[in-house]
Amino acid sequence: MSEPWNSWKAPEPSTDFVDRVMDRVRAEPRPLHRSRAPYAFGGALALAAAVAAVWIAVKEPKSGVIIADARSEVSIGSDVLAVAESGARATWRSHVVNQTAGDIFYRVDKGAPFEVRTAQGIVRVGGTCFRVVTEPHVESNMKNRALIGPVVGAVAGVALTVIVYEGKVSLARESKKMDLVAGDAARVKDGNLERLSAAEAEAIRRANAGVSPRGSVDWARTIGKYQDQIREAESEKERLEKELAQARNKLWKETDGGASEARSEYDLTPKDWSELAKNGTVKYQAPCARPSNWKLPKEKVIELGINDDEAKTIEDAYAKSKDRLWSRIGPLCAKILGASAADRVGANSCTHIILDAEIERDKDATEEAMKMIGRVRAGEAQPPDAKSRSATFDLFDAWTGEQGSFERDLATTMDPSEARRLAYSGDLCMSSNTFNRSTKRK
Amino acid sequence: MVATMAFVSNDFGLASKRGAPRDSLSRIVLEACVAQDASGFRQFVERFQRPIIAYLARMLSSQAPIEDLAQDVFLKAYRGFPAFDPATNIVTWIFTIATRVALDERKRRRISSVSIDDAAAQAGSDRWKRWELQQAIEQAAETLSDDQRAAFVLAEFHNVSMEEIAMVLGVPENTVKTRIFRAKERLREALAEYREERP
Repeated sequence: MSEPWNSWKAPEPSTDFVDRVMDRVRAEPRPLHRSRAPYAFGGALALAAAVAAVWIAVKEPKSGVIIADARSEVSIGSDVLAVAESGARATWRSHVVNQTAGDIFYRVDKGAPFEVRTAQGIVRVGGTCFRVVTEPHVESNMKNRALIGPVVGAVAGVALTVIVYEGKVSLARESKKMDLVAGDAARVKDGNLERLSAAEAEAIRRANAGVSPRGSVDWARTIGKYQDQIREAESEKERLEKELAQARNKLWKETDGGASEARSEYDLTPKDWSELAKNGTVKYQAPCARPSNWKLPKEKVIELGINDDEAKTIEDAYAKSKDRLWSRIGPLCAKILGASAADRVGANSCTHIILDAEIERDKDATEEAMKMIGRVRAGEAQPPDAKSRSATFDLFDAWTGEQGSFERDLATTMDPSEARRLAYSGDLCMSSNTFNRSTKRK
Repeated sequence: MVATMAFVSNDFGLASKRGAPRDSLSRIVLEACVAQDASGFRQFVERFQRPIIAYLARMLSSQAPIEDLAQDVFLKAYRGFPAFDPATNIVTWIFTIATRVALDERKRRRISSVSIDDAAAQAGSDRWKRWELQQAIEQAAETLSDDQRAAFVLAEFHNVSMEEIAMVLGVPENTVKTRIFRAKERLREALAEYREERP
């Protein structure tokens, strides 16, 4: 037996949905991009000025070495940020770090598996902030040499201190294990696990601050060369990005309002409208209806690279658009459904209901009104006077003029070219529709 | 006349009944996604955009910003791919993410469905009747608990097995079966008048 819920329809994705997702992916912060990691790492070097690091594999930065001669930030994969203090040494591969010396603070995104191995024990976490301090000694008491990284083999910590700031971590040494939560600190020394007070942990951390292991001078020199090369590459990249931005800007200005490949298919010229009028096609794009007090998501603000004032302008423009459309479509819909039902249905559904009613009333007149919309927008005809306007004309007149009004609202505080770009680039949520007489409803 | 962006007949929406293929992505594409390769991830989005949008639409309501939320789902997938185990069922994985997004949104918004009153029924056209049924289904679905709704939608419209739904929702299989059974009972009751009219 057919169940009524079999008629439960779902919307189709917009034609540009995939492009929008990919735009957001491309706008992801750089440390989250593996493909951009070399650049991100180069930037970190430039900022930290003294971090010494080498990618084991530059194209696939799934591993690396940290040799910090000053406090330095390093992204480990896509979800771990390490802040290495001067003297810290570590190698990492995927989600496993072999910390051989010094003090490193780790921030691990929630849910990400992560492990820090030291000669004295292993720290396992899943989303937290914590610090690992190894105390430098000449190797003499190492029971687990297999865990030491290959680069600074001569030096290894014989005492390990873990301080947890957020979340939960597990500290393991051979068969012993200790769970630590935010605020806890513990130490592994001579194979024994012991809890520490915050003051004790901090004292250990300070005592070991800036202690550089021996044997790193050559590395620092070698890596200095890499730093220079990376800085040069960064500088070249910045120059190319500027040129690209200028070229894009120029292209946009040259194609603004004209026929070009860069123009949105809904950014229609009079010539486009003239063509559409021939077969009575009406197409339009308008801002998505947003709830009252809707705010542009913070992620979107970052993605668009706009400030708070510009975000407010966009929010206001959406609100005005919704009110403006409803002030014209609402009364047409209320004539068919009654005001109460029309309010609940909303502009998009009302459009179909109005159009259905119009077709049932007079199909030919409806088609003629749709052609008239095209002719008026093309500048080939004057709009009918208020008394002789049909509901179809009023309906589509409202929709087809909306994107221009929205653009003008944006331009009250934004540069007009930026307002135009935002209105048609697909960066903002838009609802697009095409109505024509080629597909007739039975 | 038909609008191109109207609510159109779904494909994945009725996967279980129409036998829509449940082919997984090729291993190469999946590995490209794990490496966060843009072209590979694009294929992933192309493959799953329709089921995810359909799922979110049925979990929330037609008034919710479905495409924005679907973008969030794919962005979370992109961020999570480096930790993705290729041996994991990709369908279960992406629906798990979508379910979390949908349930978070429901908690955040307390979405209310559109209701219709008697005065509205005067329109009387076929299109209107279809729209009315759509609203009635959405209203009826609102009476389900979040977990019942998720289990029901996944099973009924997305051809997801009981075992997979159990993994998505993190509950035993028997619990899933019970939830789906109760959801259907409740929907049949709420939509009784529409059921009688149908063959």
